[in-house]
Amino acid sequence: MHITRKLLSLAASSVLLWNTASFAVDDAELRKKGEYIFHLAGCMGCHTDTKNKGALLAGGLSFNTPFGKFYSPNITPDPVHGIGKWTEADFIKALREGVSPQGKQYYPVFPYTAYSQMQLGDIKALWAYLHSISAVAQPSKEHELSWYVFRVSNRGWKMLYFTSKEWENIAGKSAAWNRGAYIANALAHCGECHTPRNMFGALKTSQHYAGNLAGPEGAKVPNITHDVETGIGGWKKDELLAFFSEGATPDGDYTGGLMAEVVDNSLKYLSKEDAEALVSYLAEVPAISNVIKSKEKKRRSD
Amino acid sequence: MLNIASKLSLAALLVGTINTAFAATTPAAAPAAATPAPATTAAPAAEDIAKYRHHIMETLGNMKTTIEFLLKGKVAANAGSIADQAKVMAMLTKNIPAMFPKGSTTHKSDAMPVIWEKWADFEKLAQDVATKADTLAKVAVAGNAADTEAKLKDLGAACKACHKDFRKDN
Ligand code: HEC
Ligand code: HEC
Ligand code: HEC
Repeated sequence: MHITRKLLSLAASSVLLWNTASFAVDDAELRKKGEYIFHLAGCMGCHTDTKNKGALLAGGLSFNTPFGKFYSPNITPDPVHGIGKWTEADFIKALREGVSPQGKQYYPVFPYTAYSQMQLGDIKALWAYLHSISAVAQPSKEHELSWYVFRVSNRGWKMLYFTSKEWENIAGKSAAWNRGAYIANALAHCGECHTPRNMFGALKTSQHYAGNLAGPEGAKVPNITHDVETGIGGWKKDELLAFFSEGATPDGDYTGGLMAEVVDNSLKYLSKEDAEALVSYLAEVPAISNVIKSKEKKRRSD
Repeated sequence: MLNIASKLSLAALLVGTINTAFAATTPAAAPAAATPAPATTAAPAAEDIAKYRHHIMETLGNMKTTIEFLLKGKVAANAGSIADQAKVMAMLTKNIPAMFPKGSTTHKSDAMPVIWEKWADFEKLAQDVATKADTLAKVAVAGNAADTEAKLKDLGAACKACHKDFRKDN
């Protein structure tokens, strides 16, 4: 298996050498790029049970939702319990279409809804990285869902709420804005938590980033639109950069809970340019007035 | 909006209070790890201790912010003293667990009840902050700005670690 892969990639690189007479992309280089995508896309936080010292990407984390309790599966290269038998094409299909190699329709707790926008090159790099980590022989747990939730209904859900489309830059916007939009929406899926959902669990796109009183695990997720009063319109560029790298907020606090995980698993890895690109994008997220954090909550000592 | 000078005097006041409080309750050299698991406290004290720790936590945040103002040269160096402000942080973090008696979550509190189930973990994170604040104070007194900035970041990461596990998202 491993040898075949090596041979295949050798073959691929000689083709590249022939075709372009340039140097083939080194495997290690590709994995490094994949690791960066892995960080930004936040796969770690959902597929590793860090609190119980679980192995990297071996799954087992639970997610309580209005539809029941989901468990993240093992996505290590283990051939029995993980995705060791998958091909790259299987992986691309899972991320782009939300369908397993056996044709199982995934639930949107797995944010393939965001990842379907990922650029093919990024998905391939991610695949190379995922295949380089240690296989863990740990069985995945069955979801515990409400009686009315079935996998087959995911198909209908998709017809209503999902279109698979790779991200395309928007003309007239700066390169930085476009890169930031890609990071926020295709990779770091900020909207999965910061945008409210309708009763079918689909994001209300008209309320993009306006905050969510019923976030994951009951979290109140703040408004991060550019609204000055109720969002983060008042945050300066260097304040946002400090938030991405350290989780520090302008009032001297440090973020906690889920957002601290997002900072630790994803945002702190942003390269300087990518962090600035994300700032450019956030600065233009249309302001929506929506109070999530009350003033009273902001100063608790009173 | 409080200006820096009055924030500083508020902090000084708090240091005074907390020092006396400690003198009365804990022997000076007792390591935080030796703090006994908190007993269930009577209801009336719960609100006060929650308010009290909000003041202390906010002061920690304020000190961190004012140190950054000075480090980045946003205000003139004579507007405060990085070393003094760092020392305030070191003093205020000596015994964070004492501010969290069991059940003190009634007043505008985001403290998660799991704190009292995983008390040893909570104490460990608190001790880590105390140690890092001490280190910050030492380098701040020595006066090297780059070191101070690095240690302030280390401290911040430790503050975030406790908020990650033990504070509700709100
Ligand atoms: C918000 C949590 C969350 C995030 C973030 C997340 N996943 Fe998942 N993932 C899940 C859940 C839950 C499932 C199970 C879905 C189902 O059973 O329908 C899943 C399923 C999968 C599967 C299918 C496994 C199988 O055995 O069929 C793969 C592959 C996968 N995720 C890879 C990834 C990758 C790669 C990333 C990062 C780019 C990622 N996931 C990010 C929660 C998440
Ligand atoms: C897994 C859910 C989740 C994801 C994904 C997520 N956030 Fe958050 N975010 C939160 C929660 C919960 C809070 C509130 C944290 C708290 O109360 O300490 C928060 C807080 C914030 C804040 C502070 C707002 C304030 O008013 O204090 C900012 C800024 C922020 N997030 C930006 C982002 C950006 C940008 C992204 C994507 C790159 C993102 N978040 C992705 C859950 C999430
Ligand atoms: C051992 C755990 C722990 C450590 C260490 C810690 N905090 Fe906190 N912090 C909390 C908890 C819990 C709350 C919520 C308290 C409440 O709502 O009752 C909080 C709240 C806060 C608040 C909001 C005001 C409030 O009380 O709600 C600020 C600001 C803050 N912390 C700053 C800091 C800073 C700065 C540091 C590091 C120097 C720090 N904290 C270290 C646990 C901790």
